[in-house]
Amino acid sequence: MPTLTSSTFFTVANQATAVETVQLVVVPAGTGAAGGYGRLVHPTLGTLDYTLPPHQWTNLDSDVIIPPTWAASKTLTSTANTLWPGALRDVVVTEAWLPDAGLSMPMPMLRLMMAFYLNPPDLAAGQYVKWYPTYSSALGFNVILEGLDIDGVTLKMSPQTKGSELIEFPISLKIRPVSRLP
Amino acid sequence: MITAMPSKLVASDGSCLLVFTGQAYRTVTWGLAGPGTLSILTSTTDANGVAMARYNPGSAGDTPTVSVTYAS
Repeated sequence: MPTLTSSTFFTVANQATAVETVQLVVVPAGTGAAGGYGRLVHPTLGTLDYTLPPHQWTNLDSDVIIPPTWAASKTLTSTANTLWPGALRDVVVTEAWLPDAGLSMPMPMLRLMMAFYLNPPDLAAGQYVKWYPTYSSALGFNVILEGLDIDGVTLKMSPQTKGSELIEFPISLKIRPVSRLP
Repeated sequence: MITAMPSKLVASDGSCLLVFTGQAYRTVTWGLAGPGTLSILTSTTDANGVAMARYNPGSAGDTPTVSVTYAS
């Protein structure tokens, strides 16, 4: 039985490549956004120096504000009140950026904040996001990012937020301090 | 497109996250011209076409350039 053989050649061409670049400018520590607007540091994703400081914040002054815990129990003749000192981990600090002046924050800042929120570090390995609220306090904290609300809803996006470099919605970040940094 | 987050101004004691957005599942090559170091977080774009790297600065006044080479 005859054997038929067929062959062909083909050429593998080099695919065209493209290059994109971006130039960065390194500024001194403690100036511009790094000089008092607030900072978050993620162990993998790096540093988020707030481009704008929050317009409002709760449970924070020069230190985290820790309220005491009261409990009241009715007794036969009166009420017994019991007081416990609060703990740092009881507190949730909220930072809010409001669109009072037409915008709340730039889109790249929000996207990096979302990346921090959506990629929590390994708490079992003792890794935390570090938070430096330099707009109000000289202290730093290990924290858990508990929530990120856009216009009052968790991660609400819209054509406005997708298509713009500026966010017009109010944004709030809920932060639970775990420990103070030395 | 490369986006510097949160901005192109990087504090000397901070860092900058660089996000490249292109076609999905493509190999990209990150490059750095200038002082500092570049930590490559992903060298292949994900399903959304995103690859990331972190720039750790040298000293104040530096103007490094980060590049991404990819098949067009």
